[in-house]
Amino acid sequence: MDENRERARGLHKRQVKTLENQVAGALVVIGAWYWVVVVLIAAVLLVVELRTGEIGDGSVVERVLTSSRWFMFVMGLLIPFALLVPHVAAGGTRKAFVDGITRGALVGGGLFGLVATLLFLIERPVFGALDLAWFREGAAGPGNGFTSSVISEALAVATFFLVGVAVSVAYSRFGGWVGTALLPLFLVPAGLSQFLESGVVSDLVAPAAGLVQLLVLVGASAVVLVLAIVVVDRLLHDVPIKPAVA
Amino acid sequence: MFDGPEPIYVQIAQMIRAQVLSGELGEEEQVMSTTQFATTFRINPATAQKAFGQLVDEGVLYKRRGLGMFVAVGARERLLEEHRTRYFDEVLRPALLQADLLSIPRGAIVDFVWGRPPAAPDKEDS
Amino acid sequence: MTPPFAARLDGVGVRFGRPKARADQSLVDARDPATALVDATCTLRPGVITGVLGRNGAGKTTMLSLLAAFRRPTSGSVLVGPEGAMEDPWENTWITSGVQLVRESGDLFGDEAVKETLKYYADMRPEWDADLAARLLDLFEVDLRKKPAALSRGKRSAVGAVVGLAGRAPLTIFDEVYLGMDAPTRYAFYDELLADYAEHPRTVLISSHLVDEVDRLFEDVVVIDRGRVLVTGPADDLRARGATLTGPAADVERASAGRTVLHERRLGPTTELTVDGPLNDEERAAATDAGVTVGAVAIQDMFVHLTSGKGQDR
Repeated sequence: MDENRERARGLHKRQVKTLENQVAGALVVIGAWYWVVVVLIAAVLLVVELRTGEIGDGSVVERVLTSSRWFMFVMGLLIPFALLVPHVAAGGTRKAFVDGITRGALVGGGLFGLVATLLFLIERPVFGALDLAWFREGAAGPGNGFTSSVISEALAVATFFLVGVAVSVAYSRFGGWVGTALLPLFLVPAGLSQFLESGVVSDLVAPAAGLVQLLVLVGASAVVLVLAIVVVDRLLHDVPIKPAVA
Repeated sequence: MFDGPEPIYVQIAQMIRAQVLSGELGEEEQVMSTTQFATTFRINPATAQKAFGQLVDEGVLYKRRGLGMFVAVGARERLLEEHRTRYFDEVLRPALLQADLLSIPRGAIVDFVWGRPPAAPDKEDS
Repeated sequence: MTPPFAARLDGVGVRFGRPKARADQSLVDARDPATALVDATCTLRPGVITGVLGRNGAGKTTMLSLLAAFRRPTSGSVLVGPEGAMEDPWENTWITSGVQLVRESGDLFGDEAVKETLKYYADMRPEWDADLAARLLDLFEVDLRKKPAALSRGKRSAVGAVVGLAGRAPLTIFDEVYLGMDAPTRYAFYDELLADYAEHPRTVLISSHLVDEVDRLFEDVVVIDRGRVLVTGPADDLRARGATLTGPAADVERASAGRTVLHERRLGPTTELTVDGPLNDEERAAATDAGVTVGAVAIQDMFVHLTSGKGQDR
């Protein structure tokens, strides 16, 4: 029996890893196209700002970046729909599915955070060369550091991805009416995540020292992410697989 | 293949018996494996196994460990002997019963057996 | 290698929740629209090919879904695993990683090339045989670069067949998987199944409502009708269970006395009755002596008679 338990642990790891790779892989492949578009739009905005001055001061990348949350939300809507049934058919448990999706979201989110931060790093000297003022509105202090920028962006997009997963599972599992009724509940983590990036929160933590600010913000984002994970787990842990429509 | 009304394993056993009787399968010759049987005739391997088991019990086949099934020495002779005894019970008795139903006199049958032309005109076939 | 899995259902009932009752219309009993299985009890022997037979909507798919932990029963217990060590498959990694349910759709990634799906199954399945998969895909002429939507129904089923065969799961279930295949592909599938099964013994379940083509593959059968397990046991028992009695009406009536008549056909003075329950040698001889021809009933016919609900006692 213990031998079987031992084997089950190994198999669980294998299942989680397989799904993680699948999710992260999809986010990287489709994400690559997304980032190409983001760079193009940022460049266009920059040109418009230079010509007309109508966009306003500060980072253009930051303006475009709100869309990455919604991009991840949509990916979250699509991915479980595509993966859940093959995963279970291949002998995967729902628990491995939740774990794999969470880890895939974190890996994908980490990459998004990294790319976003790199874009900021490129944007700043470009602004300097063009004699424009560069600053980020959302993250007052800590958001400007490299590590904190990567982490907070990663946690935020991972949260939005998982919210997308929750919405998608709720609709396919409970149908349109109940799915819509549950919608506000799922959007709580998304709302909280957005709220953490607002000026209100940065003003609140402003008096504290830089490291404390960072820890508070990252800690709060992590709690929001865990909330999203819990919602996804509750929805998926006992989801039945419906008969295929022939 | 094996479309008769009897269970398939019975039909397989009969086929092998017939092959041994006709000499198509010689003594000490290897029989197809259960896997070959299964894939050749699209049947469950256990069905072929069952037929082999029956033939082993009858002494028609024997098993060589790790090699497969072979026709036993003296299998043909044993089958001939068995068929001879069963011939009367299984072939001749029903034929005679049929003859009684058709009111064919025993004499006509004896005449037929001795190679004389059948006397009874109401006989359809032989 | 994991030994073949056995399975046991004990008093299993499945009732779909109200929200899903409409969506699952195809699985539903005529009298109670939300019930798919009623007090289903049966044992599936390890290392055996078992046919799961039933008409459309009889509850086959629901039963197989329970074994693969696609869903949980409303009542009763489901156990799957090596003989003597069976466990509830629900969210049980050690069991589910040894169970492969192949449905007709093939359960492929909808929007990716088929080879992505196969890679996923290969990564998930501990005993996946990549060489066998490659050979079968070649045999079934599946274009791996295509997306499922670009494949014909038969080719999608063929991919499902590959998933089931190459996965070598100790319990492999094919749920009507070959319906979309053309005849040559179906026969190739049967041949490959038998060859691989003989070499790598495991438990195989094949569900179908088209019985005559597959019944020789079965060692055991389970017949499900309207959510209930009607028959369970060796296929040869079901083959021997019925008999046809043909002859003059009065003689046939006499020979069939006391038996359940499953089917009756009259051709002028001649009557053919299909009766339930095997005839022993004496009964057989007596019937023959009375001028009644005794015939066998193929599994397909027996299945039709048993599940058409027209059995009457006499």
